[in-house]
Parts: sequence; C-alpha cells; structure tokens
Amino acid sequence: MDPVRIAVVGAGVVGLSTAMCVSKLVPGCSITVISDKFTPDTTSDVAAGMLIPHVYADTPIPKQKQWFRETFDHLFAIASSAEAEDAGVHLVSGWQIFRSVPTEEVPFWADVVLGFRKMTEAELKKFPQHVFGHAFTTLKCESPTYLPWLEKRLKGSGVLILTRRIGDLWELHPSFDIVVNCSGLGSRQLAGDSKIFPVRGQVLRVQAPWVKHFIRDGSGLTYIYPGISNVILGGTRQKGDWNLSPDAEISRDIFSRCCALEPSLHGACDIREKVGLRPFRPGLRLQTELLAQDGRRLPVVHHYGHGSGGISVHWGTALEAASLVGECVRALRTPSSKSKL
Amino acid sequence: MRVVVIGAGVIGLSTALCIHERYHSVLPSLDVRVYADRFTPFTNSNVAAGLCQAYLSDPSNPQEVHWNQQTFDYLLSHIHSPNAANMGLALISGYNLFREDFPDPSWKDTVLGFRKLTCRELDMFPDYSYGWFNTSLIVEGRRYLPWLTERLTERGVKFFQQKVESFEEVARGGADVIINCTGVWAGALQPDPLLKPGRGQIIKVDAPWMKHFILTHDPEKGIYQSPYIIPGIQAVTLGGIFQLGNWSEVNNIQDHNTIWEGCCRLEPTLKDAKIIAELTGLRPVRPQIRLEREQLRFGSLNTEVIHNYGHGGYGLTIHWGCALEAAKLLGKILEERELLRMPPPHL
Repeated sequence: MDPVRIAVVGAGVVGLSTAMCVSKLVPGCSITVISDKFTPDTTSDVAAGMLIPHVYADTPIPKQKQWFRETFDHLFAIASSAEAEDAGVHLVSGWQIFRSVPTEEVPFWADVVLGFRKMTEAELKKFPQHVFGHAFTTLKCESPTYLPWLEKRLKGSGVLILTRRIGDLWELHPSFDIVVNCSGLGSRQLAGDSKIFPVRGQVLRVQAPWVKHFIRDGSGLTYIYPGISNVILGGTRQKGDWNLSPDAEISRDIFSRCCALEPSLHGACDIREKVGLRPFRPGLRLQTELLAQDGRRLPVVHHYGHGSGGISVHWGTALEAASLVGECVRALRTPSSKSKL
Repeated sequence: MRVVVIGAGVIGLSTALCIHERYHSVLPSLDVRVYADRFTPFTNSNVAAGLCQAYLSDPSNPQEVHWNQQTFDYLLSHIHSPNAANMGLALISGYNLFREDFPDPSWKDTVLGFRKLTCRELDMFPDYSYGWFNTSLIVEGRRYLPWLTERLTERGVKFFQQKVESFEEVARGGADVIINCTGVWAGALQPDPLLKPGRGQIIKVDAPWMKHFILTHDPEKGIYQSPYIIPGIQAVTLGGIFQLGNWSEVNNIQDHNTIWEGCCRLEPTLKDAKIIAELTGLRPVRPQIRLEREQLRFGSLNTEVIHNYGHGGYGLTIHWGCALEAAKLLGKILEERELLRMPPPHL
C-alpha cells in the first residue's frame, strides 16, 4: 500500500507538534512540513511559553482541561528527563496576583499544575497593590529551543521539512493526499477565515538571572516569566494590530509595569524587544473540511486559532488533530475511495 | 573608641556594618576597622551556596531561632529594593525531601508559603516519600560581601590585610573593643575544643533551567551529607559533603564523585550540565554559636572582646541576627564606659 502523503502547513509549535503526533499515531503516512517561516521566526518563538491556559470561549471547559492536562503531562515527562535542557522545558514556580478578588477563585486548571494554593498574607506583602493571589508550580516551554528540538526529532522520524510560501491550499494538490492546516494567522488567506485576527503582543527579553519566579498580574497583561536564557517581560494585547516592529514607548511602559511588581528588575540588562501576533479566533478551529473544486477533492484538517494559549494546549490539540487525520486516512483507504484514484 | 573587627567573612563584615550604622551617629569618635588575612572571594562565606535555611532540629540555644528570623526578615525587606540583585539577594522556592515523615521545622512560619509536598510532586523524586515546599531567600557571598565592603568603605571603615596572631597584639595596637569573627580559625587566637571544621565541597554548574532548590535529608547521615542542589544567581551549587574534623581545603576526587552521582540521581537533567568551578570550604561547626563578651587583661590593658563565631553551615542564614546581638553587647560596653548617654529611666 502506498503511504498516504500528508502536508502539514505551518512550522510553529502547532504545526511541528501536529506533525509529530501524526507520525506517531497514524501508520502508513509520509509527512512533509511546509512553511515560509521556521524557528526562530515563528509566532511561537516570541511567546514565553508559560503553561497557564487561555480560556477558549467556544470550547467546553472539560475539553480545554483535557488539552491542558495532556500538554502538561507530556512536557512534565520531558522536563524530568535528561532531554530537558535540549528541549527547553523546565519547571517554574510563582504567583498570579489580583488587585481584587476574582469571581472564580480557583481556575479550572488548578489541579493540573503542581501545588496550587492561595497565597498567604505574608506572600502578598510583596505586592502592596494586590489583595489576592495564587501560588503554584507550572512548566515553561521555550519555543526557540523546543522547536529546533522537535524539528530534529521529526527529521529523525523521516518527516520532510520544506521551506515554501503557500498562497492557496490547492497548490498542495495532487502532490499530497491530506493537508493539515496549522498556519495560524495565515488561515485568513489559506482558509478564507475572516474570524481570525492578530492580537499584537510586545515583549522584552532581559538578563535578570536572579529572578526565579514567574509573576503574572491577574488579567495577564503584565507578566514576568523567567526562562533558561532570559526573563521575558510583557506585555500588550492590541487587537487587529499587524505591526511587527517594536514600539519604544510600549517597551518603556512594559518595563515600568514590570519593575513595579519586581523592583530588582531595575538592574536588568541586555534588553531586547520582540513582537508577535497572536492568532486570535472566537473559537479554536479543530475540524476536518473536505475541499472540492472542479472534480478535485482535498481533505483538510484545520488546526489553528490558539490565540494566547498555543503552547499551553498544543500537545492536547495536536493529538486531537492527529486523530482527525487518522479518520481522513481511513476514509481514503476504504474501497469506495480507491476506485476514484 | 576603636573597635577592631577580626575577620572579613559575612560575620565580620555584617557585624562591622551593624555597629557602624547603630553607633556612629551617637558616638562620632567611633573608629571601626576590619583586620583579616582573607577577603572576598577567598572566605568560607564565598563557598557557601547562601540558601537561608536553618537546621531542621531546634538549636541548643533558643536565641538562634530568633536570630534566624531576624536575618530572614531583614533580607526579605531588601528583596523589594532595586538593589536586591547587587546585594546577591533573590527569592527562591524549592523542595526539602525525606525518606519518611518528618516533623515541621521551627522556621516554618518564617519562610513563605510553607506546605507539605503533594503526591505528584513527590513522584518527581522516587527515592523520597515525604517533603516540604516553601519559598526562601538566597544571599550569595560572592555579591553580598562586596556589597557590604562598599557600604563599609562609604562609611569610612578601613580594611587591613594582615594575619592576626593574638588578641594581645590587637589590644596593644590601640583597640578598645575587639570583635572576634574569625570563624573556623578562632582556635588560633584562643583554644576552643568545641569548635571544629565541617569540611564541605561543592561543584558549581551552569544549569539555568533549574529554578528551585532541592535539599535531601538522611537522618542516618546527618546534615549536609545528603545531596543538595541550590541555584544561585548565575550558577547552580551541587553539594552533599560534611566531614567533621577535616581541615583540608583542597578538592577531593571521591567527594566530587559523591556529589555528582548523588545530584544527578536526584535531578537527571543535570547530566550534561557544564561544570564551572569546584570549591572547598570549612564550616565553623560548634554546638552553639559563641556570641558573648569576654574581658581580657594584658598587663595594665583591659580589653573587651565580643566573640561572634561558630556559625556552622548557617552563617549566611543567621548573620544579621548575630550582628544585631553583637551590636547590643557593644552597646552595653559603651554604656559601662559612660560613652553612651542613655536617657534617664523616668523619661
């Protein structure tokens, strides 16, 4: 039986992890990852990669919890292994603080992270403007390290990697039998989806190795995320803004907000600015679409629209996408399909 | 009034600073000097990882619990300042691991967020079945000692590099009060059979993904003889050596292997970490800290000595509380000599 030829469009965390899941779970396929951008130039590379979920309006909470749990467990195993340094995954503890008590005092993901509890009075003294907080241990998954590690493993599994800009999904026909669309914001064009739009995020990458804890201000607009080679300070949420150039005024504002939470950051050095466009959508799109045009058919599994939460749920959604791909493969292999080939 | 501090580790420098801060404005004639043969980065305080954590069992001197608390509170108050990193200060959270249930320590309310470990957390450490999680502080000698030195220099305190052979020599040189912060070598100035070296060896590695301390405890082996991993500002300290009575200041290959194997077993991610340095230090071990006055007489010369040594492996943890106590003792001396006018009791 000839292998089913699968094209994964997009090489951010979603594209690469989906390719990985498909290669592991769907037998009899040959996979090619196609993208115009690869690490370190993807949107994922700008994200700090903290495993703290974003809430997807259209998806039931139990499903979101499942995605998060699957991602957390998967990365936790990596963080505890000798691969941790190469994969760029590690544990980090810290605080999520609020200026007023939130309506939901215990978020749905509290029992997925480690050691979740409310902050004590003594701990809150560090943040005089805040009255409530959560303390927990979670994971950080740094794309500039994680994506190259994934790419290496993909190549080791026989997955091909191709640099090419795709303007239309039909370009992949007839070279490929199934397309997995992980193009994030690119889906505006590739899937004709006007529901997806950028939410611009600007961050600072600084050297401040004495910062060992994350601090996230309730809404998530201001945050300090210590990583392996830098600390990420953020951020912004600018809807509909496509500008990828850093804004100096915004950088000053981010720095000032973060220093208010962690005064020792005044001693930070080697400050660099980065901008990423979060692929925002009212709901995460994880579904199969059978494209048809002039007698041609092309099954597409859409897997995009992760907004702020891509890294937090990537493995869980990739597993689900792989399962959808598996269904497409089975559909292609049933006798009625064969007669059309 | 000349006060000579002997010793320039964390105890000597912090005591000198505490004294100067407290008395210089009320006693302008106060002249504080530091004599030492070793300065940063060659002191034992430079070898220590600097994690603020007292021993697990209650100290024989209950005052030490209070001094630990005072030190923690003092350092915590500086954590919020922009200077924290220059002082070598950082908040750090982490794990204390045991092979069986263990009673809560006296310092559980001093540190932040003290709690027991959950099952999932314990799953990370297959050799251990019980433990604690809490947030504490590190104070790194590598940055703290230079910071203390700068503060002292700003205040006009002078430093003299010399090996002091006797209290008498310092007294005859003009010291009215001597503060003995000579640590593990105090016995050279005055024999003290209670003071012994607790030799420690550590490996410093580059492992910036480590954000938590991990301390293991084995009641059969005793303190510091079970692997520990303590991330610092730039490097991670790996340790687990404590040899009572060993004066060797040279790194030992067997100890290296003990540390490396123990720590890699505890934390497999360290396997490929790059080794940056390896150091040996001598903890000044004593059943309790010697922090007291002694009057010495050399012919017609009456000299006050305040001893402040014997801080074992918890010198950085307890230093400020001891400095405050030493300053209090100096205050009594100054009162006795009627140098300090204390307000009359009826006010």
